[in-house]
Amino acid sequence: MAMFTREEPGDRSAETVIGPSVKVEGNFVGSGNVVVEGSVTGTIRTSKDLRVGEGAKIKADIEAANVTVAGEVHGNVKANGRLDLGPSAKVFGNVETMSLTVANGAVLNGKCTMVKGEAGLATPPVAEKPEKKRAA
Amino acid sequence: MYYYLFDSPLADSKYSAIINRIEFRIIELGINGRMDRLTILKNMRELIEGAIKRGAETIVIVGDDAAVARAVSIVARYNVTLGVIPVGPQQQIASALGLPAGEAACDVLSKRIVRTIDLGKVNDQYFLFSLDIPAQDVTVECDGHYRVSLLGLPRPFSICNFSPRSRRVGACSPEDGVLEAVIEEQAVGWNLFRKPPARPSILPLKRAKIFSPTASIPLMLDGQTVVKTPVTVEVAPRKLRVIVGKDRLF
Repeated sequence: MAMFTREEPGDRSAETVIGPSVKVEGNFVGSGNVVVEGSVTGTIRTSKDLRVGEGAKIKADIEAANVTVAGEVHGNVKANGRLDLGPSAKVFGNVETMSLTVANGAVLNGKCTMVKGEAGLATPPVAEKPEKKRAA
Repeated sequence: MYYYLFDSPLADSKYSAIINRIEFRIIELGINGRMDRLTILKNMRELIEGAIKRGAETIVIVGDDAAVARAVSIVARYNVTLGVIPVGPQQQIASALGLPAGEAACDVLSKRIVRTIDLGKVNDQYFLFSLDIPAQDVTVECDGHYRVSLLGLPRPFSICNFSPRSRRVGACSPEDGVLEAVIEEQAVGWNLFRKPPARPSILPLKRAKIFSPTASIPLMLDGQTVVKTPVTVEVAPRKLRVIVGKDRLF
């Protein structure tokens, strides 16, 4: 998440930058950190971190390791690590994450599912009843 | 075996002193080989291909960016190494490869640090730096998955393999196995209140189709060759063996 601590023009950690004057349509699959400041329609998937900038408008399902949102997202968000919603964030869709931070002023309209690790849901699964031993 | 090809503008008398020094230094370092000079009657492709048939393993271009850019597209097709001795006004390629100008480049050649780098490929032509797209209405379809278009006024942008500014941008390395679509942002506001432009958009890609919905648009390869849309641009990974200096930008 170090990439999101400062926003300098020479930030080297972001391998993909979708600037404010760029529109991406389709299924974007990346393998590095992604910063979106512009418009994306379709899906965004990356194995690393994703930052949605303040002016960004996304109509897409998102999947990334850690997601920071400061702009507008219409679609489902799946963060395999952390999901941070900043004060200007607007998310219209379901979110699924391990760790969630929602700042004062953020908008979240959708179902929120907290998962734990790679095993699955945070809530413990219902234990199966042991089979009764049949009487001989 | 080395083969030296001198670009045609070097026949001018103002270059005679530097050419003499280069020839002397080549012999002094023991890296001598056959030498040819490009003229109006001699074609670069025929000369290089002839030298490779005769057994040349290192093709050294003595000249500027224009000569090196033309040679890259020829040498990349063969299993030989490219060397450059920069002489002339435009030396962006040589400085990116870390080669000093004039006879000092002979010392770098003799040290022979060879790197295998990626090239960009457009319609069977190779480029080292970038494919530049003018400020017109174009759409880029990347890796067959997504389309990139510009919001607002059209602006020039490029598909980069290697950028001399790569240290600043932190991308466009010729050893990463991908190309990057680099779109510069415009400054907003007026005069004193003008905000500096945002960071450029950078989208890694391996293959892209560039087309214009209206008319065919000329695109520039390494500032030298013109190709027209629609074109398919792709990365040719580890395509060129090139001799580099220690001050190279990658």
